[in-house]
Amino acid sequence: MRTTRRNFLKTVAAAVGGAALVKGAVEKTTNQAVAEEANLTFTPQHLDYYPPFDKWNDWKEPSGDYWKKHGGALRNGVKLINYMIVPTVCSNCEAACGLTAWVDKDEMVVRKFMGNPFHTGSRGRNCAKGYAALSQMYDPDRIPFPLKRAPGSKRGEGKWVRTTWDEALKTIGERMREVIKKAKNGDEYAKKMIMYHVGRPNYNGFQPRVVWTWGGDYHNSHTNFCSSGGRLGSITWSGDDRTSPDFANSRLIFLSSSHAADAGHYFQQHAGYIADARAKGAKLVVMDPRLSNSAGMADLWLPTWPGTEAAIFLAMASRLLQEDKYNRKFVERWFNWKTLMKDKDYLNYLKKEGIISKVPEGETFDDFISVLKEIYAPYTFEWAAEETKVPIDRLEKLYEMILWAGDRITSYFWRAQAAGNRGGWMSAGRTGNFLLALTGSIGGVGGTGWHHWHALGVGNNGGASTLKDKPKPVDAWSELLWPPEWPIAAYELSIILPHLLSDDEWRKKWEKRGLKIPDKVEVWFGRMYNPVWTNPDGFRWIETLTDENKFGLTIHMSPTWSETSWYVDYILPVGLAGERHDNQTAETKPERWTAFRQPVLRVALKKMGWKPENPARATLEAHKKVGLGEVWEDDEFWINLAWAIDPDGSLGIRQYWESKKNPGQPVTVEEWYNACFSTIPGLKKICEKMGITPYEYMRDRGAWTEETNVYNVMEREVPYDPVKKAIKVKGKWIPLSECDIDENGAVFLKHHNAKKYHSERHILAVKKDGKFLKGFHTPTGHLEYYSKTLVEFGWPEYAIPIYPRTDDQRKKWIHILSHVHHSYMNEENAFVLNPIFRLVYNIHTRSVNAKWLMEISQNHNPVWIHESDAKRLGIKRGEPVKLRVIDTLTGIETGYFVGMAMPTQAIRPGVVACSHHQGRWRVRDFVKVEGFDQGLGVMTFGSTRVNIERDGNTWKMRTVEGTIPREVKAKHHEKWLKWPYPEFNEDIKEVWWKATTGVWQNAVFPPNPDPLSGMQCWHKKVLIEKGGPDDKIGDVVVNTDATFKVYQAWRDKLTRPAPGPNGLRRPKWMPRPWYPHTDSAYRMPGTAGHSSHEE
Amino acid sequence: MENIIEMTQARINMYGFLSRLLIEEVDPFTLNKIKENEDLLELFPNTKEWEDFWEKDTMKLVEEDLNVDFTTIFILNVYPYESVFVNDEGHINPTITNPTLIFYREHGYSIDLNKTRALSPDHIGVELEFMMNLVQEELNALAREDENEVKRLREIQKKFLEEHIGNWTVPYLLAVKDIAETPFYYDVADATLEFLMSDLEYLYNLEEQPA
Amino acid sequence: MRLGFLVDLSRCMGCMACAVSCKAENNVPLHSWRLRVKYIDQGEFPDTKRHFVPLRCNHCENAPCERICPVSALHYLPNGIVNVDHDRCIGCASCMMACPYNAIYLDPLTNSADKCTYCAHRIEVGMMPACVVACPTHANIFGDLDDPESEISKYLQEHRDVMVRKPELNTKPKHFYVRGSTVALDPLASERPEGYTLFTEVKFLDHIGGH
Repeated sequence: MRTTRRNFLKTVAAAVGGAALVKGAVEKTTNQAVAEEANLTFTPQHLDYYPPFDKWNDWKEPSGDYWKKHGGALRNGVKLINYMIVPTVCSNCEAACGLTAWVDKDEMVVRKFMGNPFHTGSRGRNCAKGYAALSQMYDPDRIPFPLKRAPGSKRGEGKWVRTTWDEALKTIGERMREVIKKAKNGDEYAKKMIMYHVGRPNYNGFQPRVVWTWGGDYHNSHTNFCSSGGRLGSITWSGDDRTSPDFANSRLIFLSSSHAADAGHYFQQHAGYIADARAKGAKLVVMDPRLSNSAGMADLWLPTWPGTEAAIFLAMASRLLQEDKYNRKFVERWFNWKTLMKDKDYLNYLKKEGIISKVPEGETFDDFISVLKEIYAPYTFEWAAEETKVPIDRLEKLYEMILWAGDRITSYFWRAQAAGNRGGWMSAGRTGNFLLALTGSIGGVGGTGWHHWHALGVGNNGGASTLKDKPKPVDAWSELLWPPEWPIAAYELSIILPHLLSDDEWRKKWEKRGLKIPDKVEVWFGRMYNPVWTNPDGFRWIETLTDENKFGLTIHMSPTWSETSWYVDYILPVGLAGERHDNQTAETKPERWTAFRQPVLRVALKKMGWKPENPARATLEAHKKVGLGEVWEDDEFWINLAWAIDPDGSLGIRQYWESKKNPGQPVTVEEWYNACFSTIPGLKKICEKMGITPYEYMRDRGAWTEETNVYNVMEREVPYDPVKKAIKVKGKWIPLSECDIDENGAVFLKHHNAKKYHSERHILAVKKDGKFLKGFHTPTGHLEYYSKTLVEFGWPEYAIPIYPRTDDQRKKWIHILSHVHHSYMNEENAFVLNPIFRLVYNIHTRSVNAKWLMEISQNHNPVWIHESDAKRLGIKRGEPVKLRVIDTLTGIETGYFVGMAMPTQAIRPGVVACSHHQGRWRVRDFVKVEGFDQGLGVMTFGSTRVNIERDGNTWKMRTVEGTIPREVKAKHHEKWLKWPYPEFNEDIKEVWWKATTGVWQNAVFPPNPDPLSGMQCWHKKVLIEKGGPDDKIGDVVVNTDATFKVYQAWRDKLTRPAPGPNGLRRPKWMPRPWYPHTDSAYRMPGTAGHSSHEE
Repeated sequence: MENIIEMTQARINMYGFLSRLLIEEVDPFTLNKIKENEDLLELFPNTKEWEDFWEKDTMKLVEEDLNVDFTTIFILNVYPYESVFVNDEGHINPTITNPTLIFYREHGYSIDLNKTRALSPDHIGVELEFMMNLVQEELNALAREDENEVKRLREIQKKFLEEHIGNWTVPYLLAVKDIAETPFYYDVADATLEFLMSDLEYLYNLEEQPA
Repeated sequence: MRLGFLVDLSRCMGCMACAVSCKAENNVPLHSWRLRVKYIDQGEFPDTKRHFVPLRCNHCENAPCERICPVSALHYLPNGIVNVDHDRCIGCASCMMACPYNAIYLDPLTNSADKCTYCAHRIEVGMMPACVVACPTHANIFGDLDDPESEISKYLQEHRDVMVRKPELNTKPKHFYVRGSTVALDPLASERPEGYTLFTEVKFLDHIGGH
């Protein structure tokens, strides 16, 4: 029965009140709702990489986390975060890429790090490590406050108490005061008994001045296990320790490294420029015994036998010379060939050695060329192919590319083979730069420039803000840093610090000759430096660091636990990328740029109106205020330490850190860096126009580019006044009457017989075509094909780029023959171990605390071995494999480690590889600290727990447990403290990797300091065996007596100690880094040549 | 001419009532209301004859029969969404491109889906509620004698019926009648279908007549 | 507007900046991946080569995941992005089964499905996805496929070797690759020898946490 419409309505009319039944889903849109959504749109007009600068203080962006949880804009899933974007600089390698910290203004946490579009080097881009900085900042295992070894406990026992920054400052300050007082009263030993030992600097200036103001020779570094080999090769050519390639415009990128995709100097910046070049048609050639990522994508891979790369450089050079295809114009203009042709003594020496058949009569350039042709004639492709074990057709291909590329060839010599092999300085920079220079690829567009042309670091230059600017030159020379056996080492011999401290025989020998060498370091600062783990012979480091007779007071400045932290007296948590002030620059392209690292939360707070109680401790206060922890920064700490060492100023240290604006107060970091940045002329000018201070400019933008297109700096003119007859160098007018000029036109100060001794020369300029040009910072002002300095220091064999070809030469020239040369590999199971390659998203010490980096590194960092080798030895994938480390100089076996084998095609036969970025260990999972009611986790998701046993000089380590996934909760009762940041670390319980990977191979390596550069020669000869029934992956066994003997042999059998001419400990034109020394400090006591000539 | 105010109010009630019945399972309160009201029962001829309707406990009726039927019909078999019927692949389209949503927006309405369990704004219950809102506005306009507004609103209602709710619901509700296992939902579908058709006719008639 | 993605495989160097920036931007928990970079070693020494391939959701125009989702937790945005709504997701994992690219994972902390959203939340304010901002070699190109002047459109116009993953499945991906080789995208293009590829071992060990 159908009801009619009317019936419908009547029946329903009043009865039900249907309107009230509805759900109320339909609503009229109001203006408010629309306005709120006004800035959000699904279809933006354009997509930008970064928000506009004028919105950086107040940028609203939807939270990605909230969006995904609630469906996004269509479903009410939008929560806008109020950001303040604060620029800073990454601290995970030395590339100094720009970062921005996106600070959530409501919660005062950093939500993410992205890049900095103002930074012309990094171009707003970053690598995985840059983005992972967030996971380091909120790492649940980071140390939230200063720690001190429990009184009464032994070093390494693992008993810690919580302490305060004030207590640390007081204790350290007093201890240092004692030593410095003695030093100022003339105690020679005291001038060498404090040590600041830096691992990862991440700064250009500041810390070096800090150490300088203490007055003694106190500055050590990690460089000699890093880049000494790379540096010496370049220093001997141009006086500059590294090249600065113009990758982006290059035609041929010829790497004996892995800069296209792996290497740390300067990783993503260089990789980006190389990618740009290749998009324009450039070719990439990579020399590497292992298929690095760079080699994997290269146009040509030369799988060279480690240490033989010089053969390829010289073979290429040789053919260019024989075919007269070298760049004649450049070579004639900028090689110091005149010096060689005039030096008849040396030419006769070459003849005696059979390198040339006769001494030419003339001294023309063509005579020079015919000498070169003769020297390098035997370096044929056939010979090179045999020496390097690279198929000869690849060498032919390379040569074609070299010809095609003209003067646009780029390369970079830093680590890789320079860090792996004895003589690496020769097989990398010395012969590599030779090839570059022969083609004229030095300095121009698409070629290879030099680092000092492009770096712009001003961190030391803030003296205008303090009562006193520059201290006097240091009048001491610490043999613990620069032992006499390595006069031309690039940087300190830090790898043998514990050995030198323990080597009484060595000390007594030199004391007899008048040197004063302490046997103890009274106060030692390790800064972002983990020598126990990263150095060779780590157990020796443990032995010595724990000895209170060798190290008085030890302090580790580090945000996290590490193997070294375990054995020191104080652990002081200083911050990471977004937690500290630094000025940093890097020569990543032909531009001069500089960047500013900042504690972003402090900066945000201040911008929002916060005022610190103590302006000299603002960073510490800020970090406490936002609950990050009692985390401080280096700069403010050092300033306050200067006041703790010298409270009344009587030691003369305080004045360097006292504010000129507010005398009686420590200088603030803002004052300091404002003064530093004011020394940059372009920046200063812009700021004057804009009406802001240079500090404010850098605070808001994070980076500044002073000059672009910086090429051929050697051709730049030096101001010359014909009336005064003087040239202007570094702001001073120097009359030519005080100078000599040599056959090349090099202008140098007359003193100490500099005309005769290249080692004494201070180059001011180079006279060419009637003008004064900058030239190169070498004794001859030119690129030194021939380095007379090396002759003066007793190394005539290596004064020119050379490489041994015959068995006889291999014996004579053992110093430049790789210690893992194939002639040493006589056993069936002998291999070269390459331990120095990178996992591209790791660093040595700090990546273990970054959950995102650990996650992508879970590859069971195995021992990579070629499939044919594995088959031959019966080794299968995943099996334990034992590597016994043999020193080829002495034949001594120092120990072994057990890794996991992984057969592959991505490595050359005869070589195995295992990265040094993994193999971290801890002895305890959690540490209870007195004064705090929650245990501190020790690298719980990045390391393995081990058992260490010691039996006399034999150390054994075995892995016991892996990673610890856990629920991260704040169990402590300190309401202000957000550590361990449970909100950020909800997923730590999802840690899915059972153990980290790799083995602590470094411990088995003895120190092998290269006899000239001092570089730790990292590659090792190993004998490989299948693991036995008792061998477990992760086992390490070392005999520190054996490692000691190896160090002694490398020192005594290979080095040629100072003094050079005039008692010089070192050539004057290869100055020591960090701070200036007096002239007398440069000379050994008891030798002729101590003079009163000061600089 | 019958009282237009009353008529409009009745329409509001009807739309609201039907919206409620279709958007969610029925609740005992509403069910009791129906049971007790003779006039309402007129809308449910078959349900009136249904034994269980009178004999079973209301709660149990709801839980064991009506909810099951609701789920069977509307959740598992015939999705009560316009977009399912309108596009080729039978997708529910909850996005901003949904024509019904566009219609709402164009006329100044937004949908807060959080108030219902509907997945999309073109659920039949929401469309009915929308009609109710339009008619409510018409009533307001009538009360203040705003002729133009009344006309405008009726235009929109007509358009919506023609393009949306009077369109796809025909085959839809027929399908529901087919699947319904309880007389209750059979009646609901039938009543809705009839009402919508007659409402459109009503609006056409109004147009032809002078106001 | 149709937002699409393109990777220039000749530029990618396997640094994983994109994968980590995604984790940071979207708070992706450990053990879950919206974006992975696959390493593939090819050839025998000394002719060995290595390829890198970033893999992420393709935001297919014909997305099987969006189609299969019973509750429309996966839905299209007006700009072509396939978006995810945890609130609606019932964790049935049909989408994970439906997606041929393994782009969807179950978030262990919320037990909902999740995947790359082309940083839809950043698009709302006119910002590029995080992985595009991060990439050091500018291998990640992103933009409007409907705009012929956009960088991605130009790339597509200028390259003949445009590839997508599993084109035969007709999902119509909006994620393209150029200047790569079939070894990179086609899992069947090469045989995996006894040896091992660098860093591709993703072992699902005893799963900890979640479900």
